[in-house]
Amino acid sequence: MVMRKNMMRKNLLRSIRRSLGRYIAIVAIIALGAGMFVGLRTTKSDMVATGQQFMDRQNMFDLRLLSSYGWSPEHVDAVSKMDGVEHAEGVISMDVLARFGDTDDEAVYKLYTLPRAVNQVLLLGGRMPQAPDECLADGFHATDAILGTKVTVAENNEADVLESLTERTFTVVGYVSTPLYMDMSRGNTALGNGTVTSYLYLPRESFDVDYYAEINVALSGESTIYSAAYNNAMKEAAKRFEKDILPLAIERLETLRAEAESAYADGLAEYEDGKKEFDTAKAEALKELDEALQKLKDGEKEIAANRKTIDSSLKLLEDGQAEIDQNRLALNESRQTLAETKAETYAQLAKANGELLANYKTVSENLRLLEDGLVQINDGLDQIESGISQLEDGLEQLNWMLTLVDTMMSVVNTGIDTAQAALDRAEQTGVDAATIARLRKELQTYIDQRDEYAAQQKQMHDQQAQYTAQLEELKVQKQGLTQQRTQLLENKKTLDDAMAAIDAGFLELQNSQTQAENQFAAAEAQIEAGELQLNAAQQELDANRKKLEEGRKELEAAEAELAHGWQEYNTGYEQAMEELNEAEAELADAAQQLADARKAIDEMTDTEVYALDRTTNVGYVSLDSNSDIVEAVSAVFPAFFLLIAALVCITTMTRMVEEERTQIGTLKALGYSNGAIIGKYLAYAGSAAVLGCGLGVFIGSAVFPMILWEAYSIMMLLTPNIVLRIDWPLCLAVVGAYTAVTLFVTWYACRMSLREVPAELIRPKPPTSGKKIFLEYLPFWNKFSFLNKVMLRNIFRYRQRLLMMLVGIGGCTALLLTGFGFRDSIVDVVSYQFEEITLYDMEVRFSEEVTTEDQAAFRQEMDGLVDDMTFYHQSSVELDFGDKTKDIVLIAGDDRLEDFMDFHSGKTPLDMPDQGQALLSVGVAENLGISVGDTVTVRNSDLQTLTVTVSGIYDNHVSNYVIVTPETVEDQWGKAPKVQVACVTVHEDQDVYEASAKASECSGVMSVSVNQDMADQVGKMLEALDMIVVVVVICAGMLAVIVLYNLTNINITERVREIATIKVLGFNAAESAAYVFKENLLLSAMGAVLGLGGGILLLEFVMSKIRIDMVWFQARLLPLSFVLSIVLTMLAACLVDFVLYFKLEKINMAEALKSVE
Amino acid sequence: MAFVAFENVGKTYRMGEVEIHALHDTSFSIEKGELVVIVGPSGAGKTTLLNILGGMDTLSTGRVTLDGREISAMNKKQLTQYRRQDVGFVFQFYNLVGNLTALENVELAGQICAHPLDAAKVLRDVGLEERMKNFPSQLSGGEQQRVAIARALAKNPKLLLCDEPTGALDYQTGKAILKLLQDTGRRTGMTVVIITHNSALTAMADRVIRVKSGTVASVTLNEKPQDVSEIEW
Repeated sequence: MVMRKNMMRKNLLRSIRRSLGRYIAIVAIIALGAGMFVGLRTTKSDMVATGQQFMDRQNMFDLRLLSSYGWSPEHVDAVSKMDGVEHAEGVISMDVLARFGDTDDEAVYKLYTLPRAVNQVLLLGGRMPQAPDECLADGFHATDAILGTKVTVAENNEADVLESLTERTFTVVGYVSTPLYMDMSRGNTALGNGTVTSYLYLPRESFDVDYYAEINVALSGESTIYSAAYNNAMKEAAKRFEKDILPLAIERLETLRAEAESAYADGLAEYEDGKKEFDTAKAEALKELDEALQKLKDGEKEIAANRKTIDSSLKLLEDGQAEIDQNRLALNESRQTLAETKAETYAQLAKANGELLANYKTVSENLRLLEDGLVQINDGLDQIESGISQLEDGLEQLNWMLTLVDTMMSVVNTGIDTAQAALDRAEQTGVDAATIARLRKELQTYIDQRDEYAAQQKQMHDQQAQYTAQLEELKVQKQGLTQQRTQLLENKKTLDDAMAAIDAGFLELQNSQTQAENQFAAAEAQIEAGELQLNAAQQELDANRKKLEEGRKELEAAEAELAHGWQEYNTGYEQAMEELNEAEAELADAAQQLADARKAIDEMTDTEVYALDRTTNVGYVSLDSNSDIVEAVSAVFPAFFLLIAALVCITTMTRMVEEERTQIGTLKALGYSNGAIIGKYLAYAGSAAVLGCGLGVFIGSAVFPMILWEAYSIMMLLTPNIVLRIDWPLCLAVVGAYTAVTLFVTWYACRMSLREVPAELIRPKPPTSGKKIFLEYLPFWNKFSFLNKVMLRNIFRYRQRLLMMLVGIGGCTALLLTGFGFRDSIVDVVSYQFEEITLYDMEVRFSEEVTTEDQAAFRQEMDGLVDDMTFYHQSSVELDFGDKTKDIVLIAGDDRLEDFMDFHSGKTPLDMPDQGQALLSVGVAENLGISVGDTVTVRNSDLQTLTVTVSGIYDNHVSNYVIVTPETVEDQWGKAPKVQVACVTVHEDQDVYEASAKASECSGVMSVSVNQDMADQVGKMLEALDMIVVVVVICAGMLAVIVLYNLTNINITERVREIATIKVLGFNAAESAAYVFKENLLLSAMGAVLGLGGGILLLEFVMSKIRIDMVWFQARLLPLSFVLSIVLTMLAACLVDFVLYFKLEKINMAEALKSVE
Repeated sequence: MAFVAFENVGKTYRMGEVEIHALHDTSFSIEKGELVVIVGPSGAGKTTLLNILGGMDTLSTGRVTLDGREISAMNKKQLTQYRRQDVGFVFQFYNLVGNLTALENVELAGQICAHPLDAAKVLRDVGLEERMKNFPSQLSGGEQQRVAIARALAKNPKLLLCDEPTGALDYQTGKAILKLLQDTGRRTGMTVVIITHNSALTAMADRVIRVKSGTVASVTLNEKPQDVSEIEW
């Protein structure tokens, strides 16, 4: 037994290891489904639990008690003694304009006293305030950076607001969250732009106030938030408290009125005293002014006399100055003449001197030239003399040489003769030829010598003639030169005479110059003496002028003093008048104030009280709505994922059983029971289910709440961390459901095989038979290629896989479409409301009923800013239908309403209701199951009822309305409804906020709400839901990947042999991949298209699950959402194919050779 | 030069720490147009030899050539082309694509090679004129193997490789298939290699290669190969 168990366990573990991918796929799909469902479900309860814990710990109010005139501390005590009250705490609160940090912009802040018992704050950072000038800031999206920031209260706040604060500047020392503001809305105000920016908590000492704006009450007993029991209990309690606190409010009114009366009396007396004092002061001031005027006029006269005297003295002085100036002019003329004469004389002298110098220069130059000529001539004479003597020597030498040549000539002639003779003789004698030749040669020698001497002789004769001619020429030259020298000596004598005359001229010139210089010196001395005399006269005159100047200055000072006096007088006069006027105005003001006070006191006749429960707190309600949305989304997943998990499981197990067919047969043959064999597969699938569920519920329970809480922190602030819990019953139910389904499908998959006898099992299963599919009967079948034919046949052959693929992929696309559609439907709901239904820009509420005159006045005041407006009745009422009741807003208005609100249902426009009829907004109609033609009853707080027939149900997203005509109301109530509200469309170019600020200032206006504000606020809030969309999209993507991977993986495993075969046949990698994956992609595309239909239905389902009282959602889908859903699905398919491509690559061709198992 | 040549081919598998010598020092050659029977007991290395010759596996040592081309030097892509164009396979278990008719199975092979034969004609040649439109599951084993042979032939390969073509068939049908292979070889002059453990088939071969313990034990040439119908086993 032990042995067997062991073997089976080993077998099981080995199976898991061998097919790990498949096992993981089952675990993953189950983890995904279980995790998502449990996670989203838990998120809802975690959110509520976090809210519950937060509200309990901070002791959130159960009721807020308000009265028109606030409460005194005694009233707080009185309330705390009332039945069921655990804590009652008076709260001081006021709206102020303040600047935060260094900014210049003023915004509205709501100041609260730091609570001690009810609505305690949770310190998120920093510390609690310890001094009156410290405060706690709004912790919404705050960080430590906010610490130390100074908040400055603006000076332009109302006086009574400034008086109620002991400090003007507060330092932020900490930031908090509070149950009063759990969401991002901070409420409205009559100040500034009408919206409260943020809140601040101040210590009690920072307020100089002796009354409370409201009393917050915590009741004893458990409060399970959002439970019907609690809500009903609080409604009851509110009614009871409103009755009990009314006397207190009336007492408060009486006290305040008495105080006001006494203050009025004091004020009146003070006013009378003031008036008397004023009259006295006025008379005194006028008298003082008259005296000052007289003094000024006297001073003016005296100054005029002094000025006359000074002016005459000045005239005399000017005459003297003129005379001096004339004399000085004459003197300067004499000096000028002298200088001119002097210059002329010196110029003449210089000219004579120049002429003499020029003569001297010419004569001395001529002398020098003459002497140079003499020297040259003497040199020439010397040269000629030496030439003559040289020539004479040459002639003598020539003559001697001629003699010598003549002598030589005769000697040679003799030689010739002798030689001639000897030759003749020899010729005659006939001596031998040699001798004759010798003799002839001798003779020739002599003849040659004679010719030479004859040439020399001729040459010498030529030279002799040449020398003689040259000698003659030199003698002529010598005579010429001697004559020139004589001429020059005569010229020199003339020049020496001229030189002597020039020297005499120079001496005469010097004498003339000395004489002129003496004459000039005498004239200059005379002029200097005149100048000295003139300067003395001028000095005397200047001294007199200075004295006169001083006199005049004194006079001017006196004049300035007088002007100053005048100015002072004028200022004084104006000031006195102004002061008098001011005082008079003040008196008038005081009179007006007294009159106002009188009127106010006279109006203090009535007070109203309210006891508000938590449902009036926006944060409280919005936490509920938000957790509901999460829950609605979670509704999609359970059945759907369970179905997918079952499909994945059945496919996998079927395949596994087929693969292990022979093994099963063997085991059966060995005698194992069906139970033992099936146990293995049950264990395989069961363990995967338990493991997957376990992973899923634990991870899901932690991850989803944390992610979504983080997302919601964009719009909510309670505590930073969500309370994480494990919802054991839910987890167990999920584990149970998944495991049961998994085991069932496993058993189902095994059942078929186990029915066969072992012998059949051991044999290989006959291959699935190919057969014609219906497409083959269509004419275009033959146009497909083989690959496409195989693909189509495969798709329709494996029906199980086809089904699973379509469901899995279709489911993925459906989920994606739901996710995107969820966004289209919810996140944009505000824009639908304000673009399609509510066409006006702001809603103005008046504190009193507005008469036709008031309406005209308001129109007048807003003229230029607004396009159009209409006035109507609006009040909160309860709508009864059957045994159900809903809070709803009653609007009674005329046909003009249609210009401001578009009443339609789908595409059909609706008419305004007739008498006795009403239009109902669709949200409330769906909630209560009201249809057109039903009769409903509307009941207000005064228990007046209105019974109307529903004539139409109109599309409206935000809030719930019942629309009737004033006639209907008048008919049933006997009087026309109070018109207190106006809806306004602002001029196109006009800033809505400027218009709303202007409207707030108009008389009678209580509050203005701008639709854009609401749109922004709700829009931002819904952005948090984007995270849900992301979660859904990621899960859908994972689903697609798991399903596709699993199916394709099985497909490949089943067809390993086929794939190996086509590889052997020579298909390359791409062709093999196409052979397998084309099929996948086609199936994915088919699944995706089917999924779109499913997605639309799923979205409708989810949206119908979201029931929020205040907002009606409508399933909407934008085209982009369809595109994205398909694209993402196909991306997942491609991703899986890409991964499995490698598995395909790895298939060994040798598989083709193996025997069929 | 021989049409097919194995020169000192060795193949070693590594399984963890153990080295398995599936083939060693294997050398033989085959001439064009021969009908060759490779025979040997189980585990002798027949299939490894076939894998290498068919371009489905690589070798560790040695050299293999076919028609002058060195198969042992080809890369993966070239091997795919080689299988695609040059080799026809006939498997023991037919390996037909279950989702295609007989004709389509043949065309499937023809579709990817350069010079395919007409699929219908080849099917007629193997005697399946009547069964062309049937799916494999509607055919008997012998008929399926005929389709497989037709599929191999349709590629017009240089070499027809048959791995135990009669292994899954009964005696008579097996005989018919072998006859078809022999006739086809004789008629078309195609080189046919039959791998079997049945030594009786050696009689029909032109060349018999005996494989034993991972190497070639002997190569004998039959001067007069017998007709299949004359062989009994």
